[in-house]
Amino acid sequence: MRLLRVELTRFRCRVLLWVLSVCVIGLALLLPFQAWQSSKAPTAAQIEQAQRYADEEQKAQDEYREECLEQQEEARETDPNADYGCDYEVRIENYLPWRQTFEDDAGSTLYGFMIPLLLVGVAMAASFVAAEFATGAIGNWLTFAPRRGRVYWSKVVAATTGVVPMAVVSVATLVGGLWVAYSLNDSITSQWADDPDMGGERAVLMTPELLVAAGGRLVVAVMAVAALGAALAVIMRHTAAVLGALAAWLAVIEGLVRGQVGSAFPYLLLPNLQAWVQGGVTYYDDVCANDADTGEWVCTTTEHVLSQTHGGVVIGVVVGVVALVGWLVMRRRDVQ
Amino acid sequence: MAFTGELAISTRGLRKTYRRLNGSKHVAVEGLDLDVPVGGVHGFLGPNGSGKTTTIRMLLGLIRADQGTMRVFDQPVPARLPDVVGRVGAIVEQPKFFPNFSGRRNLLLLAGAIGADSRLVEVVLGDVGLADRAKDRYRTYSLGMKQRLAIAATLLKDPDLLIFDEPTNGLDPAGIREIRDVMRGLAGRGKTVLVSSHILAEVEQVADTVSIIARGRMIADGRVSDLLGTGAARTVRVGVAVPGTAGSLLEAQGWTVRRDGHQLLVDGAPDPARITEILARQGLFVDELTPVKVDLESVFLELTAGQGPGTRPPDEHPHGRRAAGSDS
Repeated sequence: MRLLRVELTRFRCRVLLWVLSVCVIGLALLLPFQAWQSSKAPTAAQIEQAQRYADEEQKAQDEYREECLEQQEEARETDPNADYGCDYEVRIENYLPWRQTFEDDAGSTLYGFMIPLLLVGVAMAASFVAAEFATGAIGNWLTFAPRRGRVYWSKVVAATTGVVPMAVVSVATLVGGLWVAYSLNDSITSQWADDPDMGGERAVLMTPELLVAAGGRLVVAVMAVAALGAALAVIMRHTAAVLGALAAWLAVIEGLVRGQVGSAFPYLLLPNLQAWVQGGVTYYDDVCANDADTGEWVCTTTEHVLSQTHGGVVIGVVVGVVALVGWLVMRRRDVQ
Repeated sequence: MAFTGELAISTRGLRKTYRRLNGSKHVAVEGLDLDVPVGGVHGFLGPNGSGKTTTIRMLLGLIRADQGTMRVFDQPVPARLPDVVGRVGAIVEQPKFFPNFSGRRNLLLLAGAIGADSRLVEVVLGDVGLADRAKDRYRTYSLGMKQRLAIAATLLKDPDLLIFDEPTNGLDPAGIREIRDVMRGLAGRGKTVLVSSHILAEVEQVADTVSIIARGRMIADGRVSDLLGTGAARTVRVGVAVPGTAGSLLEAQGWTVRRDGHQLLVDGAPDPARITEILARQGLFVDELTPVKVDLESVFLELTAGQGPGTRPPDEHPHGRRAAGSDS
């Protein structure tokens, strides 16, 4: 505990970590502002203009209606279900500027915030640990605290818990800010909630409770990647090396492999992080084969769900394995 | 200073090899038996690359030995290092602290790591004369200040054994003297100080006992006075008007004679008076006859046959490896 306390003090004293925290919290403030801008009710001028466009469209629709019905009748001679949409009703909403709502857009904003937040979390942890190796201060440290296992775990745990205030403040700022922004504009309810054409969609719309829960899981994900970054920093000894390796991983494995090998999707880092934070993600896998009857190359798209539990388990296993490798490296490596 | 016969450090058959990038192995330390008595200043000497820092790092558990045993205050290390680390303060090569933290902050972190009272930080900062600069960032410190901060860090533990690895590297004369005074002062307080250096003359002024290594092997150890005594005054500087003729006469006695400008350096003469006697018989009169002062550097060069940093293995040396009267 003594070492952990000291490491947390060191974490708190690092200026770079404060700078990164301020940046990410600034972004968390910016996004609700953007939401507030995008969820404003239309102005009188915008409504008037939209009404004019809608009227013009309705007039054109009415003129075309007879012809449309005739063509539809003809089509139904061969296809009884043919529907040309001749009774299409023009709605003024279609001509108003798009207006964001909490139920429709708060979730995607939080999920979009996930990547920068995770990157900052891993960068903070990696820089916190790697700085000690890069400056050589670890050698001095070990002459005071020679139990390498304790030293290692104190650093990993400090990095993991050290990012929590940054993650909590930024997520709370974003979640609370989004609620306030949408509330101020009275734009909580989805525009599609009562739309008969969008029936059944309401079940997946965002609620404040769901958003808070997703935010909580995002904080846990930040802690997980911080542990990963700290362990990798012990293994690689330089922040740049850790960030470079992660960038290469994202580009090659998460990018190329994800595109080429659909079955690898459940075991990749990002999809599992998404599944954990979002409460599950859907992905599609194409299975292609020669049709036995026609001999043609036929692809069948299958929908899969990556559950939140699966995401949590995979992330936990990855972090655990890398942390153990870091521990072994720390125990055995010569310190120059 | 009084030696108790106890050993602060003892190694037996210590060996460490490094693997080079091309896959070949480099032996840094080879079968090293090092004994450092409790009390006083012990010089750990040898040229650059002779294995001093590697040995110290192995003692501190920073690198792993391939073979051999090490004991610090009779405890096997690195296995029991956590039990004795509180009695050991060390500065290995250049001091390494967090560059963006102040000197005080760095010491507070270390004090926190060992559970020392944070008030002690101000005391040790004052002891090394850094109280006024304690709030400044470490990276703004001069090399001398960095060394002093490192010494302050070691004092946080009030250790019984202090290990200084090349502590005067890069320091100006005043800084070197300061470090020397610190080491003597610590020894005067009953501490054991192990100081490694490749500058033998510097350590000679402060050390009570020394170990000299080359190519990772021990080539001599013992009290400084004993080591200096092994080669005492066997070289004599002779000034004479006709050095060529005089040289031939002296060589005819079986002594080794070297020219040094207009003077001669004579090795092997049992008594300087014999030189004057032989030359005077031939009408040659000396205008200078001076025993050449023996220092650790000359002893080292003698022991290693002046082959420089590489040197030859100790078992080839005619004088063996321990100085007469060695107590360690």
